[in-house]
Parts: sequence; C-alpha cells; structure tokens
Amino acid sequence: MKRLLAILTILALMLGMAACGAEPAPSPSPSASQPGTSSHAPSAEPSADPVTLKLITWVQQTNETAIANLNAAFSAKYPNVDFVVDTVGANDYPTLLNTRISAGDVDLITNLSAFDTYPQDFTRGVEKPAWETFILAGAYLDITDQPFLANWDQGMIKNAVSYKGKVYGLDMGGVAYNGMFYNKTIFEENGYKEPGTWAEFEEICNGLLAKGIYPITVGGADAWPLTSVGVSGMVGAFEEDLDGYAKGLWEGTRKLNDDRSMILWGRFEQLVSWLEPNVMSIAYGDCPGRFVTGKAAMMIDGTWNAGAIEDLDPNFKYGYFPFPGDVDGKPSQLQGKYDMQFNIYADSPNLDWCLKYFEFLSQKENYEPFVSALGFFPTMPGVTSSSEFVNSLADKNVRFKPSWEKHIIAPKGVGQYAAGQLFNINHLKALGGTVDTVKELADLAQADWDAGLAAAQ
Amino acid sequence: MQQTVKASFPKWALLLGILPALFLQITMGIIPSITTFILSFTDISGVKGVPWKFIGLANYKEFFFQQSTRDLLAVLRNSLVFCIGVTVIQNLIALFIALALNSKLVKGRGFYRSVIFLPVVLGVLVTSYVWLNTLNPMEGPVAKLIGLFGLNSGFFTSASSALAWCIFTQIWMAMGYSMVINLAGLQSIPNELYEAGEIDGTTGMQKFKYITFPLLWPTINVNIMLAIIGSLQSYQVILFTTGGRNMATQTLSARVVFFAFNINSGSGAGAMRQGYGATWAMILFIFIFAATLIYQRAVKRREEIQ
Repeated sequence: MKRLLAILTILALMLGMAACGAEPAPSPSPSASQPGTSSHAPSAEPSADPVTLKLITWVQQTNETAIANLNAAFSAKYPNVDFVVDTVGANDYPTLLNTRISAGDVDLITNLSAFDTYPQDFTRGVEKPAWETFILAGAYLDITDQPFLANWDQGMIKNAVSYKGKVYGLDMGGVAYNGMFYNKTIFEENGYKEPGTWAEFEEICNGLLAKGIYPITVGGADAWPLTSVGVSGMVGAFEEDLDGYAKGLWEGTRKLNDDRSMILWGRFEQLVSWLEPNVMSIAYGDCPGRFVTGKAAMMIDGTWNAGAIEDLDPNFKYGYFPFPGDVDGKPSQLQGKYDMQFNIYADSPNLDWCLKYFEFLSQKENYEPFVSALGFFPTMPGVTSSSEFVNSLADKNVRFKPSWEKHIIAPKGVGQYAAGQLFNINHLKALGGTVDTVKELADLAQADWDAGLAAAQ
Repeated sequence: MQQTVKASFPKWALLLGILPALFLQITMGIIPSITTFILSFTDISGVKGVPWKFIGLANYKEFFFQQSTRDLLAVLRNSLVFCIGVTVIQNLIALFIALALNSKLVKGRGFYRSVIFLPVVLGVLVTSYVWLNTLNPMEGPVAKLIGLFGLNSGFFTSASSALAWCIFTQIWMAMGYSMVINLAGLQSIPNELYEAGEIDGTTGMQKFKYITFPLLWPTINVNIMLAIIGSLQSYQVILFTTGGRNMATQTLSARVVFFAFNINSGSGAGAMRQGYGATWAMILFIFIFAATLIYQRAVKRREEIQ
C-alpha cells in the first residue's frame, strides 16, 4: 500500500511538473459567448471621472513615440483621461495580446497587421489566424455602426478591418517592406544610385564589398527581419503573380526546387554573401544604430522604421528602394500590407472613452500628425503625410500590392525548412544553420512542403 | 520519540497538520494535472470566450502523424541530450566543488559558496542575458578575446553549438543548488568515520571511495533525480538565449510553451492552442516518467549487485 501510495505521489508530482507549462486559462463553456456580436452604443458625453485607459503595443521606437504623442493630445482635450501603455518585443507581442485579453486587463489593443493572411480556396489544413479567433471570442468591439467610420477610406474598412460584414477596428495605414534603406552619402561617395535591376544591385554590393564596406545589415537575431521582410522582398520582386506562385506550390504545378525557383535561391545565396558578419546576432532594435553609423551601406527593413533613423540622426541622408527583381523588365514597386490596427477590447469597463478615442483618431487634424509620425501611407481620404520620406516614395508606389507574406500560408505541421514563407535561408551554414548549399536547402524545403501537403489531405 | 508523539497528538491532529500541504498539492498539482490530461482531448485555445469542444484523439493524431517526423525526432533528441548533458555534467561539477568547499584547506569557503550559489539567486532571465551579452559576437567581451585567434563567439546563433551553450547556461545557473545539497550531505557525515579511517591508514582516495561516496550517495541520488526532472521541464534558458526559433534547440518543454502560449510565432499568425499544448505536456510527462523509471531501475540494480 505504501509503495502504491509512493508511486502515485511521484506520478502526480511529475504530471504536475510536466503540465505546469500548459495550464489553461479559465475554461469558458462552449455556449458562453456569442462570437463577434459585441457592440456598444456610446453615451453622448462619457463620464468626467478620472479614467486610465490601458493600451498595449509592441516595441518599435517610431510607433511608441507616435502613440505617446497621440495620447498626450487626447489627454490635453480630455484631462480626466490618462494612459498606461505596455510594450513587449514584436516576437512576444502575440503572447501579451493573448494573456491580456484572457485576463480582461486591457482597453485599447494594437495589432501588427490588418485582418489578412486568411486561408485561401486552394489551401487545406491550415490554422485559423489569431485575429479570427479573437473575433469569434467576442474580444473585439463591433464598431460597424459608428459614424466616424465614414471618415476613413472604405477600401481599408472593407479589406483590412472587416469580417463577415462587420467592422472591428481602424487601420492606421499602409507600409512597404519589400526593400531596404540605403545610406545616400555612401552611395554618392562611391558613385552609385538606386538600383533598378538585379545586375545593378549586384554591382553595388560587390563594389562596396571590394572597398571594405559591408553592403547590408539586418536584425537577424529577431529572425523575422530576414525571413519575413527579406524573403517577402526577394520573392515579391522576382515573381509577378504571387498568388499564382502560392497556388502553384499548393497544387504542385510549381516547386520550390524547380528551375525558376532555383534562380531565386541563387539570388538568396548572393544576398547572404552581402550581409555583414554575425548578422544573426544583431537585434532588430540595434540595426538602425549600425546603419546610421555607417557599419553597413543598406539595411533590410520596412518603411515603418524611417522614424527610428531620423531620431538617431535628423541630418542623416537616406532613401529606400524595393529589392530589384527584373519582373517584366520594370523596376520593382513597393509591396507591403496594412500595418498597425487599433481595436477596442469588448469587455472594457471604459467603452465610452475607447470609442471617444477612436472618434478623436478619426478626425483629420489628429490622424494627420499621427500617420506622418508613423511613416505610413495614409488610409484617410484627403490626408497627406507630412513625412518627407513617405512622400519621396511616391514614384515607387504606383502599383502597390500585398507582399509575399500575405499570399503564402503553409499547411499545419509543415517541417522547419518549408515553414513560414518557405525560403528559410537562416538554415544555411553561412547564417549559422546546418545546410551547406541553396540547392540542398531547396530540396529539403520541397520535401517538407510535399510531406506537409500530404498530411493536410 | 515515536511514543511521545503518539501520547501528545491524536491522529486527527496529525491529519490536520498535513492538511495545508495536502490542499496545496491537490489544488495546485493534482487537479491542474488531471485537467491538462482532459484538455489534451479538446481544441481549447486558452483565449477567453472562444468556444471549444472535445475532439477525441485528434491532437494525438496531429502529434504523431501531422507533423514532420524529422522535426519531432529532433525535438526528442534535443530533450534527451539536454537532460543527460545537464544531469551528468552539473552533478559531477557540483560534487567536485562541494568536496573542495567542504575541505578545511580552502580558505574563504563561505565567500566561494556564495559566489557559486549566486546564479541561482539571479534567476534564469538575468543568467540568460548575462551569457547572451557576454558571447555576443558583435560587441561582447568574449568576441574580442577569441577574435584574436580568428574565432567567432556566435555560439547561440549557430545551429551546431546552440544546444551545447544552452546546456552550459543551464548548468551555470542551477549548479549552485546541487552544490548546496551536496554540502549539506557532506556535513552530515560523522567525523568519527574519517578519524577511524585515518587510524586504519586510509589514503584520501580511499576515504572518498569507502566513506564519503557511499554515505553521500542518497544525496547525490536526490540531486540526480532533481536534475533529470528539472532539465526535462526547463525551457526558459532556451527561450531567452536562442528564442527557440531554430529547431536546433527545441525541446519537448519548449514546444509545450510554444503551442500553449503562441510563443515565437513572429507575426502571430496562429492563435494559442492550449489543447494541443496539453497533448505535448502529456508526451513530456511520459518522457519524464520513463526517464525517472529507467534511472530508478538502474540505481536499484546497482544496489542489488552491491
């Protein structure tokens, strides 16, 4: 008996230890909520009692400054309202979002993207995106009937913040992230201009390298600046029909190791050789500093980070160009996504003030400085960004379209070589991985992709 | 003594005495564990308000058949390497240091004990960042030193060395704890035994082999068990040093956290999957149970032979 008791106790202890990382949030009953039906009729004028609105966002210097200024302007108009803004790194932000919503400890939510990356008709066995889960949970307030929506671009309302005919947020603008910033001074000193073709890009990178200047830096330690921004840029520049490429991969008419894809892999191999040494140890937040101090001539990043560069050195001369890809012989155009989205937590005790905040944000005089500070392309008719940098991109923004990241979605459980955006160059030995060549990596990626598709059947 | 206890306390009072501990164990250990087992058969996300339902063995089917077998084997191999590496090396070093710091020949023993125990107090986050920054190949002090020999200190970013350095960091953080337990064990060995040994003319090695080690063995045994269970459930060092983004350092416990809390999904494309995370936790439990059982069998066999 004693022996049995001892065994049972040890089992319980071990099970407790094994389970301690996976304790669930309080379990709602299956019928506890009516998904996506939370709405709120605002009172004419919210209470004048002191209110603190809790807002969560991710660490990004430009965004944080812009939000702080917006909140200060709101507090100036409504002195009884102040804000607590909590931030974590972008990689950890989904966790903060999940836990705060589960705990009901938030009023205003920002999201890294709009409602996108949705499974397409040719995809099978893919996971539901997190934003859909939150809508089904009734976590986001339905703002479909709010009059301030009329101030915004209706295309944005329909494509970025709507789900099944209802509106759940406001998107602050578009960003491009298929290219890189470049140091104009270094370019001028060495007689280079923005490249329009891959050959010109090669000439610049090889030329800089020969002169002892590292061509490109990127925040490899955070992974996504390379495997999301870099890969989106390279694939987007090379394949004209991104949806067709994604569909071809799903239906087997295209392969990750077919002849055309191998040309792209070859360019990735070149790109890796132009990155500064130990790039996988550089944190995203440290990258602008390295770029501004001339450690590298170019920095792979999204247009959203222009503010960080200007904060570091207001006199720094820089520009931005998309990865050259020679599609149809035309210079590449910007590709990207709808960026920062604001949502209201549906169970917030301060819904009136949250809606007031949205109304405030929807006024041109408040949105214009905000979007200018963010460095986004505005999503409100009649608003022009005062950002010199954003306006300098106009000629590259004629055929703006969603990036590769917004077209591709992998089957659930796909192997590591075909995860994410499929071109996982971080597995190359040159970047600290274990795979010697791009050919080997392409074959591994295709094998993982095939296995993932088979499992999804 | 036993007689006194019987005389002083009725049985109900003894039961009352263990009630708080029993209550905590049931509410904080056993009930969540059983709940985790049940939730492994559901599609619960963990997000408040999201409907969920029982889905039978679907999570287990996904675990065994809907993920890359190569990646799964890599996770199991990493867990095993991490467990064996931490358990063996940590206990060997902890034993050696405890023996050294128990010797009266070493001056300033209290200071050394405090220094070696310090990482335990610092905790996993500080320890991880200390080593991450020390080995940072861009600015870290080690980079400058080994750079003189043309070497690179990007150990945490290299798939071939990252796991080894996670093991190193884990040992550096937890070794002081094992050392203190060993020291307590050493100090409980009666001095008379050593004095008797000296009269019999034993050498230093013989003292260790025939007196210290046999009497310290129960303490070492506890340390080994704690290290096995602790290393198999440890994910924090991996998360803070390598981010667990590379399969090279993914372990079972790291995967539990990955799925249950949607860690490291980058853009956050996927939602939390606590039902599936619970499935990984059950597999981890089986792994820990098997490892503990194998170790206990081995110890029992050794004791029987002796």
